[in-house]
Amino acid sequence: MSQDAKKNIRIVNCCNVSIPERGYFFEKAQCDLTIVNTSIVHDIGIMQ
Amino acid sequence: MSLLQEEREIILNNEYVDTFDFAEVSEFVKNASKDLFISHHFKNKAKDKMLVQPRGGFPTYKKQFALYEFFVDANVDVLPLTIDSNTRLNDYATSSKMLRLSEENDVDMLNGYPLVNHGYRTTRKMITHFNKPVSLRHGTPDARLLIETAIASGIFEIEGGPITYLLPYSKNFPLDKAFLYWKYVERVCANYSQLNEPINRESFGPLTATLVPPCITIIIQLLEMLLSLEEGVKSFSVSFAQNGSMNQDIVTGAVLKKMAKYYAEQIDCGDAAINLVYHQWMGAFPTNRDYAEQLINISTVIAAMVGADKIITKTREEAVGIPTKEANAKTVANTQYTLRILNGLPNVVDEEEEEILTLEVKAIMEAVFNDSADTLWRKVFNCIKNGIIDVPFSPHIINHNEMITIRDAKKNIRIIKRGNVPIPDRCYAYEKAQCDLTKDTTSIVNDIIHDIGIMQ
Repeated sequence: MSQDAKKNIRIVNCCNVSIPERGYFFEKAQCDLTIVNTSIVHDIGIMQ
Repeated sequence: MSLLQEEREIILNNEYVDTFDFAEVSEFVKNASKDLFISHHFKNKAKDKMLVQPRGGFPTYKKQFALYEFFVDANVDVLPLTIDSNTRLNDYATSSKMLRLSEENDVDMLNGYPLVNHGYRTTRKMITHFNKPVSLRHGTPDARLLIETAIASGIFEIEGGPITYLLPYSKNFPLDKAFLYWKYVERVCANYSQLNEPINRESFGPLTATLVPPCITIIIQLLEMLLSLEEGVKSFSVSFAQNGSMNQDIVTGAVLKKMAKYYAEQIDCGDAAINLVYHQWMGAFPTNRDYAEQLINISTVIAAMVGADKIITKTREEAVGIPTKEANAKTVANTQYTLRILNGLPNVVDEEEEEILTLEVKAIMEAVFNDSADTLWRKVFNCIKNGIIDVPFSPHIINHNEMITIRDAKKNIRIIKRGNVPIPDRCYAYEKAQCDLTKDTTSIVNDIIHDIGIMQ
C-alpha cells in the first residue's frame, strides 16, 4: 500500500486479496508508481 | 516634473526623513532579490501551498531583528512589520521620543516598529539580510510617507486601503482625504511595480471583526481592489477573517474569489494577479491559552478549506497582550505543521448560500456604480456617506451604523435590519428567516452581545 498525492491510502499490490480489477486499476492510477518504494516509509510517518 | 513627483518631494521633505534619494531607491527596487517580492512567491508557489505570515513589531531594531530570527527558525514564509500607533497617526515626534526611551531603557514604549524614525537605510539592512518577503501592517489613513519609506526599505507588500484602514480604526479622520492619500499610495506602488516584480497590495478584510456580514466584507474588498487596479497595481490580495461559521467562511471565500475575477475583468484588469488571504479569528479571543491554540488550529483548517493563498496567524497570548517572540514563532511552527498534515480535504459547496450572497454583492455593487459621481472613489465615498455601505460597529462618524446583524442557530452572521444597504428583498427575507426574531428586544440585544464574544 501507498498514499496518493491527496494522502489517501491506495493499494499498489493486492497479492491474494480479491480486489476487483476495476477497483485495483483505479487505486494504482491515483499513485505515482515511478518513484522508488521508500516513499512508503515516509507515508507511515506522515504526521511526524 | 509630474504632479505625483512634486507631491512625493513635498511628502519626503520631512524633518523626520534623512535625505531621500529617489534615484538610488529606484535602482534598489530594480535590482532587488525576487525573494523579497511576495507577488513572486504567489506566482511560483505550488497550487496547494499556503503562505504563512504572523504579525509582529517591536520598537527597536535589535528586538525586531531578534523576532525575525525566531520566525525564520519557525519556517515562516512571509515576515510582518507591524507599525506603532503613533506612526499610524503621523505623530513622528512622539514615536521618535518613545523609540529613544525604548532604546535607552530596554522597555518597549511603542506597540510596533516606528519605520519612519528608523529610516529606510537602516531598515533595508534588516530586510535584505533575511531575504524573505515582508508585509507592512499598519492602519494608517495617511500612509504616504510610511509607504515611501517601506518600499525604499525593501518591503514589497503593502496592506490597507482608504476604507479598511479608516472605518475600523478612526473616529473622525476625513474619509475623502483618505481616498486621495491612498490614491497616491496606489500610484507609487504601480510605478515601482514596473521596475521588477509587482508590489503586492492587500486589503484588510476583517474590518471591525465584529458581526460584519459577508456581503459588506466582500463589497469593500472588491471596491478597494478596483481602486487599486485602476491606478495600475498588478498584484492584489483580497482578504477576510474567520467569522464563526465554517460554512459561511467557505461560501464567502468562493464568492469573493469569483466576484474579484469578474469585476477585475469588467475594468479590463483581468491580467492582474488576485490572491486570497485568510485571517485567523480576529474577534475577542479566549483568555485560556489552550483554548486559544484550538481556535487557531480550527482557523487553519478553514483556511485550507477556503483555498487561501496566505494565512495570517494569531497567538495563544492574543487575549493577554502583545505576544512574545517565542509565542509568535510557536504559532507559525504549529500552523505550518497543521497545514502539512491536512490532506484530502473535501470540496464543500453550498449553492443556495452562494446564490444569496452573490445577489447581495451584485445589488450593492450596482448601487455604488449607479451613484451619480464622476469617479469611483467619489461614488464609494457617497455610498458610505449615504449608508449604502454600512459597517457594523465602525467607530467612524461617517458610518451609518444602521445595519444590525446577529448569528443564527448555525452561527452564520445574518442581517436582521438592513438600514440603507440595498439588500434585495428576497435575500433580506432569507437572512431574517434563519433567525428567531420572535424574542423581545432585550433578549435579541443579549444574543448580539453573546455573539460578539462567541469564541471566549
